[in-house]
Amino acid sequence: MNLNVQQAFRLMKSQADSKPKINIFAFPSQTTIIFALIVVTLLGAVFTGSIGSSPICIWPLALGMLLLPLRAFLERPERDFAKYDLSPAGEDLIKLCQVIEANSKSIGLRRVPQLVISPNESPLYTFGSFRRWYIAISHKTAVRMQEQLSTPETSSVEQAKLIHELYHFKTGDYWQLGYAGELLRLTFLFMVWAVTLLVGLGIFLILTSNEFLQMDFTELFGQVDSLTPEMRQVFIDIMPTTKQMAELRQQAEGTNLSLVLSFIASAFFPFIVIGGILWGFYWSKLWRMREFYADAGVVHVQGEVMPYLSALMGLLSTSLHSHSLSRMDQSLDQARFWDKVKGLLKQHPDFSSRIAYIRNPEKVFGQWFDTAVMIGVLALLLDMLLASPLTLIYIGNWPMHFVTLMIVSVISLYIIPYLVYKTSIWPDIFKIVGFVMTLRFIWLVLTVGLMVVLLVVSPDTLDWLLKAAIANVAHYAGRSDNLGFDDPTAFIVEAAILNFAQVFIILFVVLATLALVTFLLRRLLTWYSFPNAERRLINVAYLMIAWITICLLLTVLPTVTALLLEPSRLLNPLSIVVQALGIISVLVGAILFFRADKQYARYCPKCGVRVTGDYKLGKTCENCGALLHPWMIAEYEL
Amino acid sequence: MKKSNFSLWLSRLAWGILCLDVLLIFAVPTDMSNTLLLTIAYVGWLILSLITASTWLIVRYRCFFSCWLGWSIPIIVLVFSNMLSLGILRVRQSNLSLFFLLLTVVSGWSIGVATVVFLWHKDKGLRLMGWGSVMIIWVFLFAWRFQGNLFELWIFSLNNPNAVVPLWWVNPMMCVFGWIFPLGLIGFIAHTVRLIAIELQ
Repeated sequence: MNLNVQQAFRLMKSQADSKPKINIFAFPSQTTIIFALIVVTLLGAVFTGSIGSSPICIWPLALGMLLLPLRAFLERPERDFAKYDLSPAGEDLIKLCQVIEANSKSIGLRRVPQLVISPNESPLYTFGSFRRWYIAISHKTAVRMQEQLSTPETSSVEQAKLIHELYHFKTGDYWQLGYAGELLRLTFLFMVWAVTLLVGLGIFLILTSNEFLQMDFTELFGQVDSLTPEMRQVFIDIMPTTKQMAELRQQAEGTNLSLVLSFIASAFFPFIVIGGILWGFYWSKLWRMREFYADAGVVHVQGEVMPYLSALMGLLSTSLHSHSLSRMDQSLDQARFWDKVKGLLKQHPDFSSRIAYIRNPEKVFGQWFDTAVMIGVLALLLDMLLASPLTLIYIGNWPMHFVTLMIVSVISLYIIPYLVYKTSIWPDIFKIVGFVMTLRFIWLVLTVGLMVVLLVVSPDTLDWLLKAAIANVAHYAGRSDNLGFDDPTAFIVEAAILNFAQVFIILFVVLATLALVTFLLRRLLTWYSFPNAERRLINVAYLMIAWITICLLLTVLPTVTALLLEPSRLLNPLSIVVQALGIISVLVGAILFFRADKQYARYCPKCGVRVTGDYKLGKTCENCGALLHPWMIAEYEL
Repeated sequence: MKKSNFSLWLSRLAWGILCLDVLLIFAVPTDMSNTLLLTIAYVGWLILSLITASTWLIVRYRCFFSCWLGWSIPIIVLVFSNMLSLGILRVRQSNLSLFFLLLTVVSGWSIGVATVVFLWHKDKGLRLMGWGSVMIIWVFLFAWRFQGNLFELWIFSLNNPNAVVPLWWVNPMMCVFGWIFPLGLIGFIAHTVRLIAIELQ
């Protein structure tokens, strides 16, 4: 085993680049970004759908989807305790508990996780709620770990394992995964329950409404000989009166229950399907990302790679062959296509990936393709969710807003580390934006293409589909009056022009905004003399991105949307006020930024001399040689 | 030690009462039309003692009733006894009929006690309410589809008490869900409060 560790270490060292290593903790957490995307996609769509009126009451569903995962997350420790028969560690493991406490304090955790023991063989893992933190391990492994912590040769290896687990609490990924996991699980269950209940209710109403609405309860109860007059009256008082029955009949005549069923299916099924995609791919990515961050935490704390490498090798099967090590030599890019696809579904990264990410920590931020696929697919899913009957009626007037804001804000967060370690970021930005918009373009081509094909091949089918689609998003689903189009061809042409125009408008708006963001971030990264930069500079970046996103929401997007759909909207008083607010926000933000820029940009914090050029990782002052933004560089030896 | 001895004796007493009551049901003739007070006292004793004994035994053997199988036993007993006393397999022999009628009453009560025990140990209130409501809708749907207008069937059963009751399944279903919904809600709220309290400790 030692020979394998040494081989792995030499291989890693021989291939290590001489460039400085990026400190991934100084930049936006990829785990947090993916978590936020999952939560915003699901909860955002449901909350949007519960804004206004609907044939069925949606807001309890929205509230349930927000609070029930939280409740399930709080319940997690109990479930794990029951499922794995866990119990608090005894007096025989007091030394291990003390080591956990010491390590927790040294890495700055605000509470010490409690060690709990499983009677069965189980790997070391963490779980907990907001205030109850646990590290679980089997008793046998705990005893072995405690012994090895006492031995100088193996102490650092065992410490590495503990620090890895503690870093899950440090980065907060334990609650992000906990909540996201419950949200995905409960979304699926909730939607299945809602569909089953509402479809059942709908079919029941279809089956019974004709007979029920024709009933005369006074006559019906009059037929029961065994009832006394008083009891008869009690029953009659409970049932609807003749007048109420007449009103119900009138309401029922105007309602097409089949359309209500169609509304229910098309409102809820997208959540089930999209929840499944999020669970399969994004959830797995969230898991993998948290492991990379925890690995990075270990090497940052210990300042060297060997102990953690030994810990990782120890986790591999004892039948590790030498060819497994030589496989580490393979670039990840050379992995076969199906290996890559399978890799997308894995929750734990493989050994070679973990080594590669320690060697080159910037891999955490991904290649342009990984970012493009993640954002592009999610933008498309968000589009589909927002186009469902639950939300289209409300966001139909803002077709470009949500997706544009999502793309801009997420790519902006990805740009920050790219600016620091890449020589040029614009090729990547073009590729990411291009890919995202190409996906949207392809989707539009498919949907408009389908409509065109149906128009030519089967106009009746198209007519039926369009009527069903309109009925589904009708303000009161089930109303079957005035559906359909006099001229489907004109509708398809108009829809095609508007939707394809949006693709190019969004492309232009996104690129222009990203150009502004890139310019401002480049300036921000030169604020070498900004006080407490290691803690505050990234917060300024977040604030700036949020400010730009808000300004986009208030000024640019309403303007382009109005110009595309309804230019007269620009003259609406509310629209004018919102635009004015947006412009004022832009001006205030610009003034604040450039004032601070004048004060802090391009001055060495040590000698005060001007530093020229953009910041790149490892840049030093030309005058005194001081390392600029040293907190952006990871300090560990390969 | 004293507590467990006392509990053991109470359990034996409960089992004894159950056996005694079953003996009484089959040994005592049901034709007591000229002793109304005695009939009331007799039936009252049977109901009260059976309910008390079954309640204690469910609490005593709570480990069994806190799992899905144990919780569903009183429901199965209720459905079965209801079929035999009021439903499609109605027995005519008077002592046997009384037995199954009392079994229906006691099992109806026991479902409530078993549900309390179940929800005390397991946080399944929301699940019971949620899927319970789905079940009610679909049962009524299939019933209307295959049995016909349920209102008319109900009127028929009120007018023909001696006939086989086509809606015999409604009573046990209403009994089960009559317990599940309020207890499920209380259980859900109670467990939520408990979780928040534990979290804030």
